Amino acid sequence: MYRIVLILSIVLLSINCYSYPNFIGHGYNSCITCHYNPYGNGALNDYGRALSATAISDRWLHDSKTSEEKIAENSGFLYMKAFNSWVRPSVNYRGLSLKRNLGKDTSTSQYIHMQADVNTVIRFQGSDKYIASVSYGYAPTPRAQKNENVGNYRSREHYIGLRPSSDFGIYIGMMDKVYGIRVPDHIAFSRSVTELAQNDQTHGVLLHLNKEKYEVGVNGFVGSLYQSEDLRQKGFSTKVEYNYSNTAKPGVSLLKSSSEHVENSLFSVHGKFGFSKGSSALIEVGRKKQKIITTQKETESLFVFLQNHILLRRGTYFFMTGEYFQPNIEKESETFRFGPGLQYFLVQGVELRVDLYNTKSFSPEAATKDSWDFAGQIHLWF
Amino acid sequence: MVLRKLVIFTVLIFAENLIADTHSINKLKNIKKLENMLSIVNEIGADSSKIDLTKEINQIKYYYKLKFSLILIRNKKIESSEKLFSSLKSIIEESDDFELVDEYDFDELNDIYEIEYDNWKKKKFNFEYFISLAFYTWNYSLELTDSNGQKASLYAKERGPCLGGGVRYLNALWGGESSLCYAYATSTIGEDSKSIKYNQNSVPVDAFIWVSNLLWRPKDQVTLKIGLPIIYHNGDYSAPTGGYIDDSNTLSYGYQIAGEWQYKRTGLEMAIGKFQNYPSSYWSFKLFYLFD
Repeated sequence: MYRIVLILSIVLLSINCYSYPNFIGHGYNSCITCHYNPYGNGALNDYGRALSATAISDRWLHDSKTSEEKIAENSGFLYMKAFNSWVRPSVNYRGLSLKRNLGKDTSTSQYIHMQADVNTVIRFQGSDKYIASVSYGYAPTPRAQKNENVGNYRSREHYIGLRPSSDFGIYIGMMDKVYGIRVPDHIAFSRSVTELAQNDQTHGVLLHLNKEKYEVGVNGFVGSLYQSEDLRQKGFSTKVEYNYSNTAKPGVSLLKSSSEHVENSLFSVHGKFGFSKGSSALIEVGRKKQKIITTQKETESLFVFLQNHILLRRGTYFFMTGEYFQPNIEKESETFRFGPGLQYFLVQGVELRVDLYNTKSFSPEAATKDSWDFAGQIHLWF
Repeated sequence: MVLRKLVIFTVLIFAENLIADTHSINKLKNIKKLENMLSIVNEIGADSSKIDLTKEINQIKYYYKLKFSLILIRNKKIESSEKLFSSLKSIIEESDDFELVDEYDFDELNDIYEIEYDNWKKKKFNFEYFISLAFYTWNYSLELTDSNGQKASLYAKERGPCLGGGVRYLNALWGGESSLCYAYATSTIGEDSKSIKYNQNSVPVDAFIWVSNLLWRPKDQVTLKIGLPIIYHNGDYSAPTGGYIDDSNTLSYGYQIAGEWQYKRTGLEMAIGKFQNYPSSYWSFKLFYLFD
């Protein structure tokens, strides 16, 4: 009984379980195995829910007599069995407790509701062949626009997906751009510098080809139609990955886009590797070239993302993240960010994560002191 | 008459062998005590040159020798070694030519052998040697005394490659490791107080870093480490005219945690730690190659 009360408390207090690129350690090297969107994020499909309940999450809330099949069966919306074959609702919450500049006079502490979405996937014909996915919910005001009324309720994702065969699909609507490794670390340089973070979705068309040996995505986009027209980044991106094995997947990404003010050109090389059962290493090295159209000033930056997970026991991962960012390759200034973290999937739909970030900035002009930040996250998805 | 005697003699010999073998097999089947198994294992095939493996009885005896050996290994009644497992493996390989009834299932024993051999290998400690190339970054503090005798703290940020190697003694579950590397770093140094202005860039720094780690391997290709690093540090900092720089942290020690991911003979280690009297943390990213 106490287990039911605990589950209900967590549901009422708060998230949606996601599969992450580090699950290549479990042999899952493609997002489409678990997500409706072939490049991840957004709602999980039935297989993804069952997998997250049985292989990813801890099972301490279930007694030893409950079989994995039973747990998988009850991995639907709010731990229920799927009530029909054509609709898949879900809710998703992500909250962040952030403490910046630990140990300094300028130390700050805040709690951010990063995401609170409801999502529905309509499965036409009762299968994942033809789908429509819509999510709507709360999003925090970006720091840069904190004095503006940007609206905190919006759709992050809405698209239709047509997948006439298992190896080819077309997706039309508002989605994340296809590029690099889609890690959930929103502050990672590989997500923030590239403008591919949590709230950078765009309207467009995605073509996805998933063959035995390679996976290719081509994404044409016209910017977010919620933005004013002059700000919309229009262009295309593509990602090509080679399936060396279930646990080794290198790839390259390219993105070109422009608005009336800025032109962006991105290129990166990445690799996802699985070690033993559940452990992994992710690496992405990229370059961004940005041109301010009015001044014709061009800046080229470089970023590196490295994150390694160790599966300690079912549901619990220890990881280390190392990042590098050089904002202008013609100058010597550079930033390193490094830190350990712990990720725990308490039960399907409940993820707890803590990160410690140590940032070191190097500049020829001054020896600046390090900064230490702490982030604690709760992620619920039901 | 002679022929008759010969036939009777042959029949008697055959019958005697048959009775003896039947008795022997039944006896083998009923052995339960580990001590008795041990004597049987030592007895059967002690002189392998005298064993005729085309004879069914000897094949059966080999079956029991293998079976008893595995039972003794599982019960830790004999000391396992590479030589012992190798001799058992040769019996399994020879059994491919045996034509015994299903009761003597060598495939089943082979499965048990694989499990026991795997378990033994996991627990067996080995020495491994490696060379490594790491990238280190740490912060450093010094004290500047200017020509007027006024003292002020300096803060340095240093980074660079570290080339070295080490040795580890481990099994599949845990172990220990010790490594040494030489770092050729560069430093950016500046004032750590408002009383002075000081800045120097690209200062060459030499360091030797010796780390001893305790290893825990939750999985066979990944390792978690906690360790004690010792650093010897020497920087070529320049003091302003008439002043001098006091570098009192030349030798320091500390602690670290690290994660390691290994693929075949190569691997990556990421570590974060703290040196005594060094401001803030240090990190390292290390690529290594293991030798046999």
